[in-house]
Amino acid sequence: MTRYDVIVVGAGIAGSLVAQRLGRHGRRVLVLEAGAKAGRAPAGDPLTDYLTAAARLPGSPYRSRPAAASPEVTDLAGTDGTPGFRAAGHLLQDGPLPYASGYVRANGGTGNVWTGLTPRMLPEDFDTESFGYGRAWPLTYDDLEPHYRSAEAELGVAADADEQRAHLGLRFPDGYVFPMRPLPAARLDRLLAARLDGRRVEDPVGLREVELRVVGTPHARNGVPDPRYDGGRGYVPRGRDGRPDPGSRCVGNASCIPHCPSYAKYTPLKTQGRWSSSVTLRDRSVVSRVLVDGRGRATGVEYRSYDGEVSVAHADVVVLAAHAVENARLLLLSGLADRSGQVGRNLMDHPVLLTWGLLPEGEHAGAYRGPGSVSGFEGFRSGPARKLRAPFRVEFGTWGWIWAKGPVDTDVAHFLTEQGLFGEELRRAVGDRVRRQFTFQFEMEQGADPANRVTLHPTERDALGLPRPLVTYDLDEHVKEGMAAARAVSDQLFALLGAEDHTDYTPSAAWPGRFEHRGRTYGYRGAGHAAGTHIMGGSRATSVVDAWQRCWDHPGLYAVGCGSMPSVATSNPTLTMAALALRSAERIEADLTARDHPLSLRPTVPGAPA
Amino acid sequence: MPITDETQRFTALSARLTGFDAGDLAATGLVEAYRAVAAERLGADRYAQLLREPPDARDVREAARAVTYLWYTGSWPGPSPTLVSPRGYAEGLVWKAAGLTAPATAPGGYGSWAEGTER
Repeated sequence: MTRYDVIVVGAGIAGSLVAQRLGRHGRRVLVLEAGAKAGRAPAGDPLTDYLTAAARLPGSPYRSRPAAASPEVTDLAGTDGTPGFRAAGHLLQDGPLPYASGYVRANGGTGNVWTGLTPRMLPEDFDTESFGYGRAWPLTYDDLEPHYRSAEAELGVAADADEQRAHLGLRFPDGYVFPMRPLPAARLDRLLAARLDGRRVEDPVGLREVELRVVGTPHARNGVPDPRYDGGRGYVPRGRDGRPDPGSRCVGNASCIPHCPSYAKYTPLKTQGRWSSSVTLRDRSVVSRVLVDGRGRATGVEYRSYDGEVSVAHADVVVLAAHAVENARLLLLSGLADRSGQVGRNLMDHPVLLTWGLLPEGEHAGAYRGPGSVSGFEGFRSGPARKLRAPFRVEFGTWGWIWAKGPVDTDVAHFLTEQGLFGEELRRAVGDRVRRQFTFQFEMEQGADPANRVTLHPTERDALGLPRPLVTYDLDEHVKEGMAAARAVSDQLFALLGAEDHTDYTPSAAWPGRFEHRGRTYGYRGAGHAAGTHIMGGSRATSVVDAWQRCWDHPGLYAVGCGSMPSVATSNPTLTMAALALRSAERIEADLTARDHPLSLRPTVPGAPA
Repeated sequence: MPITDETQRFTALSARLTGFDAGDLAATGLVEAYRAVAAERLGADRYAQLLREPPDARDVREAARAVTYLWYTGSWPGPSPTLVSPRGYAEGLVWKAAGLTAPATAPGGYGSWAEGTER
């Protein structure tokens, strides 16, 4: 049996990056992926699958396999009554409100279907305890800053450092520029900037006024390389499978979720394309247990093929990178790393309040022409208002009402069935509706709460006989107050724009995430940003992993990914996850070097035993 | 009845239902495919009735809606609508009505999202 230096469980963004870094040092790395590689039947080419899917959902190109099932957005449905939802499929739930996100088990993981937005966290996000909620990181922004730059290089980020510095207070080294120039703002962004920049809105919950400013969002999406990057060496965009492709640009397919046909968006397959020959990927390999020796040191994993055959692989270091929910499930299945009692707890997401409407008559938003969101309002993310309500980032949704109401087919059905239109009237109504649509996406920070958790379902098993994950989830008052503030802000935005507000969280079946708060009804979606389930901290008594994402209880066992994040903050978390993964890869390489050269600092004694 | 006549009648009906003229519909290359889908899904009697009666007549209204939905979205309606073909998705009239193209079928190029669409 081959012995490996490192086993990585999961070939998503974090796992692929760790494997790439260690492979570069010549380490023998085995990557075990529960899902299948693209190109294996029945999943064919992702673009073909996308174009033939009846409903183009995030998981469309990655059809679930029974042996490695993934939760689908369609697994959740709203109901009348209490609780107001029903969960079926892989991820079962028993909480008061639904965890409303899915994830993808396929080679590349959820990183295949992500939007590609890569904002950094704010310096103050690393310690929200001073605001009275959440948990502090054992790291600061400045500790992570060099790794943010590494992640921005690996993912290929297009953004404007000066704008990020000026409007977000982010610290960069002098002269830092991103690999690529910022993407051009969407037509909607320009329109909102022209009408709203410099206007002030009232935050009735945070008890302050906020000045509006449209700010471009960093994107892991190919744009125009900045010749000043890397001390003037510039940057070469990477295309399909990570090949250098100087001319690769986002061309506006408007299908980043679930698939970018031009390969301008970063996916882990780009990193995998740059793996050294010492990295081996074994797909359709579902890890069912982490193995440790008598002293608790990780020694390898047990994994199963889709037909149930059990194999074992050994390594000095085991890195779990299987997604926040699946990492926790695997630790629980193994009965490991839980001396703190925190494994699976502190599950966080970005619950997203959506509001949507139509621009004034005769105007058009230019929807469905580029990335799903290019810019946003960043002024609600920071400051003392966080004591009173959850902070939030405001994304401008440039794909019409797709997230709120479904694809444009929904609009066709509305005018045909509810309004009875045909012919020229129908054509005009549908065209006008789609042209004027836009959405505000208020992404709330949710603080770490041990009661929000992943456990093993006591009776339900998956196709391989492994207990399914069971989620217990709720939103606290802080998040609900954030949504109340967001809705109040949204009301003012619509008024300032003279736009028609069509926000309506009905029918209940379409809004599993729905609640009443102070007499008003709110509906939310999940951003797919699961975090916290193997929470990082400064003490083994209260956290699962240390600042290097090492499990406190088990030498040689790392759990990487958003599951380590003590706070999910208001940034889309992928870039932070990538920065943490790259930082952990350095630590792992240092561990392995120490293993290889334990006596390297001592003088060599002739004749001593080797 | 010769196919060409029936195709013509289906095109004329589709033009009345959709608000797009015969030339627009022919340009999609889908007239024959959609005629066949409509005939199959509706059954011979309802299909013949749809061709015969004014589209807003009460007894053909649901069939008329289904054919219109097919033209606009590429899918036959139902609890889970069935996409006829990738071409049907790409040629969906909903996009043409809005002056757009279907995502992932005809991207406008780098930065095209910053520009105005033709009205």
